[in-house]
Amino acid sequence: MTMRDCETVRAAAMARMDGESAALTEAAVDEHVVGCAGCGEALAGLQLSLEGAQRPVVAVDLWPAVEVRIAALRARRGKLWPVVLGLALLYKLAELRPELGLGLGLKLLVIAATAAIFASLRANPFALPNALCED
Amino acid sequence: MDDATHIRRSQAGEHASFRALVERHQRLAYVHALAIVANVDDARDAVQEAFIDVYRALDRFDPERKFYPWFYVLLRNRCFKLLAGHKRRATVDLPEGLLAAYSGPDGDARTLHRALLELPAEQREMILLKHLDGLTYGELAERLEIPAGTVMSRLFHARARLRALLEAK
Repeated sequence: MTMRDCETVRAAAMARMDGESAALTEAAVDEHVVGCAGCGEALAGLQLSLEGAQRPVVAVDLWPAVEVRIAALRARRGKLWPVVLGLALLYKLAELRPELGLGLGLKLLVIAATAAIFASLRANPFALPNALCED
Repeated sequence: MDDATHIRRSQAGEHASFRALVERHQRLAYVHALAIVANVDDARDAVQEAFIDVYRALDRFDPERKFYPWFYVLLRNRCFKLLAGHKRRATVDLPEGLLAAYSGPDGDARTLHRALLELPAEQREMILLKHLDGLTYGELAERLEIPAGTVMSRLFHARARLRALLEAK
């Protein structure tokens, strides 16, 4: 028997125990286990009794903390919004008034700054009008 | 009101609906986080962070999808990020508060829970999702974002490890 055979047999035996479809028939599993002490031992303890296991009984109210975090996030977004708007206007100005000599370097700087804001917010700052928390 | 309605309303900016979503799922989320991080404070932090992640990503979520499986992916990411942040903490150093929360009506249950809490986080998560939540292999694969074959392999090894821990007690 190869190691791969053993893994297949153990997976099939466990699947049957869990009421799932198995890759091998019961007879094929039994045939292997009779001649494989390792699988016999591994499968013997598989029928774990977890009758004593239960979800912990917990009382938890996380909303107040979540609400504070959302308010802080919203405030952060609110502070960044004028910055995003300013950067957009600067970019447009560089486009419309090339004689000002704002040039490609400034455009790239504006794009990089905007991208950094997007990344820090991990969201689209232009979606602010639809933000939550409109109490 | 179902999750899809709460999500649609939250996406439209209704604060109360987002609150309802948090309040509906926070207990189960906390229990799941506790199963992974085995620490009450970390579990609270992870759940809070996961709900903030939801808030940030809500606009992109399709309300027709089931909410909790999607949320669970965010939650377990937060949990494992927390665990990675303080690897020095040994999971065997269990807080009494957590043991009390898990303790069953008799000594055997307590032994089982102690053994569960000594498992590595991924194995404990696997066992609890299978035996307490009753997820099928397919559901486990979806929830944990791994192939069904990997579910079987990990579950087998988790059970073997748990058996070894129980035998040692």
